[in-house]
Amino acid sequence: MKNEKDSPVEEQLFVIVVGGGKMGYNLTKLLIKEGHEVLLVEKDRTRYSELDPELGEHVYMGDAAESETLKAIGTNRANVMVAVTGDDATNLVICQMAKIMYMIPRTIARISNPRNEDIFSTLGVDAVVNTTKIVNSLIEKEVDSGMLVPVLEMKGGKVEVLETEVDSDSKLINKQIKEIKMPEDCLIVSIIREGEVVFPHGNTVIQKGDSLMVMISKQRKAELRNIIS
Amino acid sequence: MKIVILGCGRLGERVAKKMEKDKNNTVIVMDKNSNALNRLGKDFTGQIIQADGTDMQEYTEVMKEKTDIFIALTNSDNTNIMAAEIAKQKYKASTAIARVDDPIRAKAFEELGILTFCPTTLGEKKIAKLVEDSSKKEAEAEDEE
Repeated sequence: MKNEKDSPVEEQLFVIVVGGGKMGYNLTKLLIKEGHEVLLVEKDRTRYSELDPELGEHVYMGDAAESETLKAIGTNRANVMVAVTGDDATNLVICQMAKIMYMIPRTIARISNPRNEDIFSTLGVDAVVNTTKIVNSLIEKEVDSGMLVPVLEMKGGKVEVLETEVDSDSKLINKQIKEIKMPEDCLIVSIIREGEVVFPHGNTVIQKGDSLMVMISKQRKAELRNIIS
Repeated sequence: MKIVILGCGRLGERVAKKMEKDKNNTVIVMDKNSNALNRLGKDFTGQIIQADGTDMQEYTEVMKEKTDIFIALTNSDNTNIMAAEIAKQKYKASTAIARVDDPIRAKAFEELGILTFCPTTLGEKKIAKLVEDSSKKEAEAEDEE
C-alpha cells in the first residue's frame, strides 16, 4: 500500500482575506497554521498597526475594493478570495472584482444581512458565510438537538454544506454509512471525530458525538432531518 | 418612465429634480439619511423613501412595478454597484446606472451590464481641457506680442 505520508498533505493555496476584524484575523491565523500562503488586507490604519506586530508579512494595509490594491497584492496569483468585512456591499464588490478582473476560481463572502443571501449567489459569489444565520442556528441548536447548522452555501444557493452532531438518541449510531438510506442529492463529505477529520467510506461506522459534514440539495433538508433524529 | 434614484446628495438631488420636471416621469428617491432627503424640499412631487440601499428587502416594494431607470448616486462605490446589480439582475430594471469613483472599478462593472459613470474620469477630462485651452490662449497672446 502506498504510504500516505509520502504524498503532500494538501495543495498549498494562496488565500487573500479581506477585513481584519476578529473573523478575518482568526481565519488568517488558521490558514497560516495549515501551511497556506495568506495575505490579510485591512484598510484601517489603527487596526492594521494592531495586526502588524503579530502577522508581519501576512498583513497588508489597503482598501481591497480599489483596483490598485488588488494589483499590488498580487491578486492574479490567488486561488481563493475571502471577503469578511462588516459591509455586505464591500464584500460583494471585492469578490466580483476578483472574478471579473483576475478570474479567481473561488470567492467567499461574509454576509451580515441575511436578506442579501440570494442576491450574492445570483451575482456570482461562489459561497457565502451568513454570520447572522450561523449564530442564530447555534442558538437554536442549544434547544433543538439534531439541528442542521449551515456551514457553507454553494453557487446558486441550491446546495448547502451542513454540520450536524450525532447525539445519543440518533438513529445513526453504530450504523455503517452504506446502511443509511440517505436522501437523493445528499452526501456525507466528512466526519469530525474527536477533533480529527475522518474521510468516510461505505464501511465507516457512525459513532455517538460525531459531527457530520453533509453536502445536500436544499429541498432535501427535511428528509435528512427525519433520517438523523 | 419610472425612475428610481438611490442617494440624495448634491448630485442625487439635482438629478431627481431634473427628472421630475418631465411630468411623464414617476420619480422615487431613496436615501438612508432623512436629512439628505430634506434637500428635495417641500415642492418635490416625487416619492421619498428612507431606506438602506444595500438591504435587498427595501427594494421589494419600490421595485414591484417595473422600473425603467435605476440610478445609484451615493458616495460609496460599493453600495452603488451592489444596488445597481440588484436593480438589474433581480428586478430587471431596463437601465441601471451607478456612480463609481474608481475608474478601473467602473470599467470592470460595465462588463456585468450596469452602466457606470466616473466623476474622477470626467473631472480629469474637464481639467485637461481647461489646461489645454488656457495654454492655447497664452500661446495666442504670445503670438500677438
